[in-house]
Amino acid sequence: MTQLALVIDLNKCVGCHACAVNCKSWNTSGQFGPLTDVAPYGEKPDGVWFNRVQTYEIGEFPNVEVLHFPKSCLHCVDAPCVEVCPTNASHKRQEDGIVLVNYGDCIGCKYCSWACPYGCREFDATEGVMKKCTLCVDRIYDEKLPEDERKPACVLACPSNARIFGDIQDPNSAAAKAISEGMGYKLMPEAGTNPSNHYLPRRKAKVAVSEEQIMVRRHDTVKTGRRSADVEETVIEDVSLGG
Amino acid sequence: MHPEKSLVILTVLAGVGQGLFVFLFGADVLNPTGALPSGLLAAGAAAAIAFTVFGTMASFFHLTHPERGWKAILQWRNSWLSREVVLLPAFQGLAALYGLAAYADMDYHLRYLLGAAAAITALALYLASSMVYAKVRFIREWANVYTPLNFTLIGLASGAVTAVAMFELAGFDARMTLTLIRVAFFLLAAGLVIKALSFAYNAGIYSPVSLQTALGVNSSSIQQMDFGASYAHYNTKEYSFGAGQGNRIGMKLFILAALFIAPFFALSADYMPLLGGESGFAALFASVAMIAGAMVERWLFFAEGNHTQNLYYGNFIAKGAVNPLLQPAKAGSPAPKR
Repeated sequence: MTQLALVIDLNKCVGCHACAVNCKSWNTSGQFGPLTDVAPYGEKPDGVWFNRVQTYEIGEFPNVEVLHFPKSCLHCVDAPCVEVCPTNASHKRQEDGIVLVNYGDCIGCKYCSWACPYGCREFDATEGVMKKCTLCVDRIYDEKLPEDERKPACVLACPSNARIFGDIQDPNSAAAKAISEGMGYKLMPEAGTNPSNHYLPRRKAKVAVSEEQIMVRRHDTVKTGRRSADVEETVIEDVSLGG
Repeated sequence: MHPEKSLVILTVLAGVGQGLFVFLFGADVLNPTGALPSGLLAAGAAAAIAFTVFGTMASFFHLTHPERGWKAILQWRNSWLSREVVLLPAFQGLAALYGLAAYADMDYHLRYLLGAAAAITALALYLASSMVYAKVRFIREWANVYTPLNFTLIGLASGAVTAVAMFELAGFDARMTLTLIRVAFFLLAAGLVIKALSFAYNAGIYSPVSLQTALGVNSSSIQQMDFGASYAHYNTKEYSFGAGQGNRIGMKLFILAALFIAPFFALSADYMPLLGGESGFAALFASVAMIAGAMVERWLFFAEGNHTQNLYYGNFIAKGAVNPLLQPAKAGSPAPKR
């Protein structure tokens, strides 16, 4: 069973909002019709975005980190938005697991957005329908695009390659490998929605060095290597001791 | 959540109409054949339908595409909202047929059959309307047994009081009116207890969801620097009615007074005159007070609903909800209620 989804590497996201801007741009000029903007250059802009990047500060000074957090529809396996829609406008595709809104059936009751615990859906007041991330379903199957561009717009836009697209049920896909190797996790697992989008956690790169490997100490950096006759191999510089 | 006025009006008025019909039919069945004037039955059915029609018209303002509203019946197998959309016109149709059967003085067996079907539909409609909200399982203020209980009890109580008012205005049989008043007393008492328990329950709610699980970050200190938007948008408007509004004790006391206590006293004022064979008119005042109180109650029900997406915008009202894994235990503090 195919389940297309995104894997977002929070360790690489720099919070540039390129994904959000590219998503908005693609979905304003693509097949699904424009995402509306109200007073975009004014004091009180309003509008619909599928993808928003938020920023958080973790920890207390001086041990603080910055977390940049992009969030869009997670295309849940047990999507509550699909369960509650009275007209089946909100539906999950069987063939690839993408959750979509059929704008022609949506009556604008907003029940789906109440049911989504992540707040990924935004109501377009101008068109009167609920809209959300389509996983660029109009891009990924488009034969007119070159094959390496048949990905969501946000994935192509990311300058640090923090977004990975693929079939998370296929163990050989880049997305599935990223989840298993990068300790990918789901958001709010206790909500029972089984989201398909995964996030890779932030982690500091640490290298373990033992005392025998230290050859030269210079302030707080060491030059390590193994003495082997008169061949000296310098392996790593600037490591922290410990581990 | 941001309360939708149209949904407040819909659920309150439909609830009154459904309750009114249930007790109208109950009075019909409990009386010997022909004792209830057919005009009264037809007028009562019409009034019940009128309440639900006003409610339905209000709910249409909630939809941006009401012309597609008929499609909402398609998912009745999955969605409680879809079931509500099926049951509401079903109730209106059956109640209308009942009224016609009464007006045309048809055989009472047919009338009873139609009335029973309509009354059962009315009770099922209370369940469907309330389960629409109770099924949103992570809005803990809604996803509990008090939601369907409150919708049903408040609807039946306001319907019973409205039926009493109608019978008094029609100058109808004091004995049947007294029976209805006794039923209303019971419903008002039950409603008061359940609503007070619901207020107490909501004040100490435990939610397993926290910003830590919403982001997947295991730190007790997380502060938001950027909301992902430069101004208010759907996510900041639809899901909250201003954070930190406090306990709203005054509003809760008003609700209990207007919905249960004032009508109780009003009906009591009518009780003795009715025993003596005269009629009172305090039930009309009680009915109006109940509708006003029910509107405030329903508004507060929506406003109290705490959506988890507010975690991403810093206005998830925690109240008693703390993640015990990340908070140091204070000496002597009770464990959070589950």
